[in-house]
Amino acid sequence: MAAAQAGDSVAYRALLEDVQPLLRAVLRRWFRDPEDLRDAVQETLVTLHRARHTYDPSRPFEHWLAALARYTAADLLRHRMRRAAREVAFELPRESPVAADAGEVADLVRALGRLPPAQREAFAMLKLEGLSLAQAAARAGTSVGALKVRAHRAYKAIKAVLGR
Amino acid sequence: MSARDDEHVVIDRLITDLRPVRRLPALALRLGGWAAVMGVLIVAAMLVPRPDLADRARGAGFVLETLALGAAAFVLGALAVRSAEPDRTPTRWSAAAALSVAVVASGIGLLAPPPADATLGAILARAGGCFGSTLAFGVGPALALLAVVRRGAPLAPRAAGAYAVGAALVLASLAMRIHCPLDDAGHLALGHLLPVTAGTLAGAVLGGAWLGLWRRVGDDVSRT
Repeated sequence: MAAAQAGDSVAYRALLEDVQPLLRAVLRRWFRDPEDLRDAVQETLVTLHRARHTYDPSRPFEHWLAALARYTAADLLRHRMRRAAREVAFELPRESPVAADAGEVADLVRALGRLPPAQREAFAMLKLEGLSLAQAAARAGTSVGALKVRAHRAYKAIKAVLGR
Repeated sequence: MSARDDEHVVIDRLITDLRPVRRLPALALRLGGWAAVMGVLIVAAMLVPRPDLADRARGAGFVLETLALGAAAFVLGALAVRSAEPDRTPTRWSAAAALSVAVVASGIGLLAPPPADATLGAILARAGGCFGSTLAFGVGPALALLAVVRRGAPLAPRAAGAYAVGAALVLASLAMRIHCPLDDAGHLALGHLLPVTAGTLAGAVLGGAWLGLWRRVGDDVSRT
């Protein structure tokens, strides 16, 4: 890290590669979904980059990195909760027109099939089974905020496929 | 694109953006700087002291109060300075301890009996000047501390803003105790304590917003 602070790009690349397992280990506590975990690792790498001048080589690097990871995770979760809260109104209407005709049903099934498993599960629990957010989050073993994010991504993808 | 590819794209971007950086000065140096700022402000207040300062300095209550205010200002300033480094971000316990010292320091002054003419109008009339003076005394130290914290990477920017402005205003409150001859609780509450409380809250909101600009989630790396 000290070499990276001096502008050594080779050392910096090696460092950014090396820290990823540690970051995953720290961040897995908050992000169980692989996609969310990947986002969090990348966001922490960006935070590390911005804060690199604050590392003191006389102190343990792992503590510095873990602090960055913890606060970045907290930030990401807060950010997603806020976004999810704003976008609750975006949910598909209860009286969804998906059953209007066989073609649209086929499109919907195809769109669902293309979703990542976590998003498909969120959509199915909320829209097909009619579970509440809390029930669905409990069943998926995640937080309400994370579930809202997955559901929102699912709605967006389905909307794009259905062309509306 | 796979997850691994995604991470390589991010790493490539960060490598492209890599420039040599200047490390923060040593913590001891920054704390020494804050102690120096405190010394300057206290000496400035001593140049225009309250007329009865020598008498008051013989009382244990006044000495204890000023020492506690000084300790609270130093500890809050130290928390602000530490906030600039991710691995030195103060814990809730240290923040609670610093707040307790500040509350005790302010509480000692508030134990004073009210004066004979303690109507609200009279208290307000006398408190207005001290309210403004406390804020004026605190502006310079607050800006200095905020600049020191901003130079780092505060992970809890709102708390850091509150520590920085709180430290500066507690210091200003100490300077005002040396300068202002009024000791009644109503005056101290409105003229000395209220600006500290209001300013600290403003520091958390406005200072926190400024201190948090370095790492807005979702922003482009090139902003650094």
